[in-house]
Amino acid sequence: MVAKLSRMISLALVGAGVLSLAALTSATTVKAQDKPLGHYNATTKDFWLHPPDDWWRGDETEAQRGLVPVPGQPLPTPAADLEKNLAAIKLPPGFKISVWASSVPQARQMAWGEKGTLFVGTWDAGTVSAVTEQGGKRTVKSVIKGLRMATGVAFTNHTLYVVDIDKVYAWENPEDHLDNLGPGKVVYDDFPPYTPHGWKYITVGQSGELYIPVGPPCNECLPPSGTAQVRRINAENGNAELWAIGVRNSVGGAIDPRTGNLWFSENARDWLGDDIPSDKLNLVSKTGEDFGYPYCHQGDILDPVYGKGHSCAEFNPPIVKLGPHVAPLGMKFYTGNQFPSEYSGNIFIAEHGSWNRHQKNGYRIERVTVNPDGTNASQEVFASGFTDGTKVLGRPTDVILAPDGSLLIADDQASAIYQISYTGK
Amino acid sequence: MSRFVISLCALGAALAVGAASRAEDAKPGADIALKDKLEICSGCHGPAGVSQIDGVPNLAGAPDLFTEWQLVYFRGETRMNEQMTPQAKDLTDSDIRDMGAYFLSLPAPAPTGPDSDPALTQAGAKLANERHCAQCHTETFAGQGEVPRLAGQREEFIVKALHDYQHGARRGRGNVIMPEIAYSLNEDDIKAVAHFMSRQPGK
Ligand code: HEC
Ligand code: HEC
Repeated sequence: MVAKLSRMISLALVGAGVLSLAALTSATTVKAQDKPLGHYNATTKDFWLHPPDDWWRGDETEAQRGLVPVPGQPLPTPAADLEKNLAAIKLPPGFKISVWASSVPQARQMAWGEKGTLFVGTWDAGTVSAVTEQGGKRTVKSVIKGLRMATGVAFTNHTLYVVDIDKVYAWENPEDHLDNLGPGKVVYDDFPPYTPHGWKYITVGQSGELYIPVGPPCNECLPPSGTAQVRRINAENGNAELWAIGVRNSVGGAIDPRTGNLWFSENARDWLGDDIPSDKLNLVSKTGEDFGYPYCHQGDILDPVYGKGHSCAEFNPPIVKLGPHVAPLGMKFYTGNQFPSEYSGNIFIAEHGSWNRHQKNGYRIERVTVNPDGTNASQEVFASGFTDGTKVLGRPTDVILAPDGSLLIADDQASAIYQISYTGK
Repeated sequence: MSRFVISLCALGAALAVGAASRAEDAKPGADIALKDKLEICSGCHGPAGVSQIDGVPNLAGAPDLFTEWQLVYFRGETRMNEQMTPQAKDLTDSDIRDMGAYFLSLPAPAPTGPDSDPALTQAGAKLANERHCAQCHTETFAGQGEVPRLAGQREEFIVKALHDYQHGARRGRGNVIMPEIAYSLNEDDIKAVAHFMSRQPGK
């Protein structure tokens, strides 16, 4: 299983010859879909730089015309408006939410440095922000610039790691020279270079290894070699292992402190309808498990095209079906001691919210209670109200615990970070 | 350059006044600074947001979020253009919000005169349909949110924009949408779709 993955990828580039996303095409599937499948050639360099654009559209029915990604907010929501927005957020009794930092551009994954700096990734701004605190006053600064999509950040072993599409960069002891971080050292560069589903997340394992997902460059396709998987990367020597396969677009994960196992969130395919398939929370209990993409969705629906000849029993089902199009992203186990004891070991998941659906779904923080082996799972909404069904006030992207046991929430729509605390009142 | 001067002198004097008073509508009690800034914009983009200069896009009727995003990109130097990037350098967040609302409030340009090449228009319509351009740019191509108006946009500017996406000179929203869409268009496609879009009334 251990392999430097460059060889696998170059195989797809050079050796695979007829590897095509439509390899399953047959007379019957064509009839079922009522139109021919696209035929792609993954053997050219071009394919890896500019994958086909049909993941945005192509499958839509008449009723789905006009469903488009939620427009992003170009400018940070002013602090005064954030306070107003938070009045609409519903929480369980005893909890309160407040603005922790405003004007944090396109806030995505968060990671604490060892000296109290919160590093925050972005979307297409290509920057990484540092939130520092002095004398009770927080300051936000862009400390890394010029990346393509710096969505994933992590901190371990005195080092800040940032994943930017096809590369992992490292900065040692960054908090000693935040004003002049320099270009960073490339510690891994074996990811494909395309942008679609190329934005990533980093989950740090118990011995400092980095779990990073690699999304397929499409909505629904036979994934080109080396994609639709989660890799476990050793940043010291650049080696990678395949940790999970059959994974569509995953932009969130966490290690169960009870077992050391990787859990990850996964965004299911689009265009099958408003109510299917459900997005997923998955558990990897054995290296190399297959989570079903592109054949089986939500553990029990065969894909109308690629599912032919398969059964969902071949694949690992999700532990929790989070709901259709909710877009689960960053997640954490609750290991603090501020919240009531029944929250201990629960999972908090940030749901970015739907676009490929007529009524909005997600736009909230979900709470999952589950045994370490995945049994006895239940879920409930923890924080909601980031949309009123029409207007979008915020889109949660990640959660992280603050040192005092409160929960911080990143929002890339309002460009802000909120804090949820338990006061008992 | 001669056209540039004409637009400034002949049209500018009369219409800049109108532009300024609409700007006040966009932001009640707008200060002089925004008016002054908009006057500079109109030097190139035309006093009513309708450009008379090759390579300078129309802004009238553009969706507000689109204008705002592009100004944020120019200001952050992630969209580079010799003429335009410096114009955004000193804009404040509230300037950018006001400008988004202002250009949306201006009447969108409508194509005038007979179609010089109806066959090309037809080819463009066919391509736009096959490639689902309306999915995001809306059925009338008036645009929405962060997606620009294409209807009535200058033909040569649409061609330039698609070339810029193809060559990576411009990436735009999410880095991903238009670069991938434009990549597989050939020169004939681009000519046809640009001609078609520029002829749409786009209410
Ligand atoms: C010196 C001429 C000039 C001035 C003055 C100018 N612009 Fe521009 N602007 C351009 C050009 C040229 C482009 C096209 C850039 C390109 O090709 O990418 C442009 C593009 C734009 C765009 C993107 C539109 C699109 O459809 O892609 C916006 C928005 C814009 N300008 C707003 C403004 C505003 C607001 C001002 C005033 C603050 C302004 N411009 C002043 C020349 C100018
Ligand atoms: C999935 C949504 C989507 C589809 C489909 C789409 N576009 Fe776009 N288009 C966008 C977005 C978003 C932008 C703004 C990108 C940016 O920030 O530069 C854009 C920008 C453009 C621009 C630049 C206009 C300007 O004023 O700067 C042109 C030209 C364009 N699109 C043409 C097309 C054509 C032609 C098609 C069909 C072949 C198409 N688009 C299909 C979303 C889409």
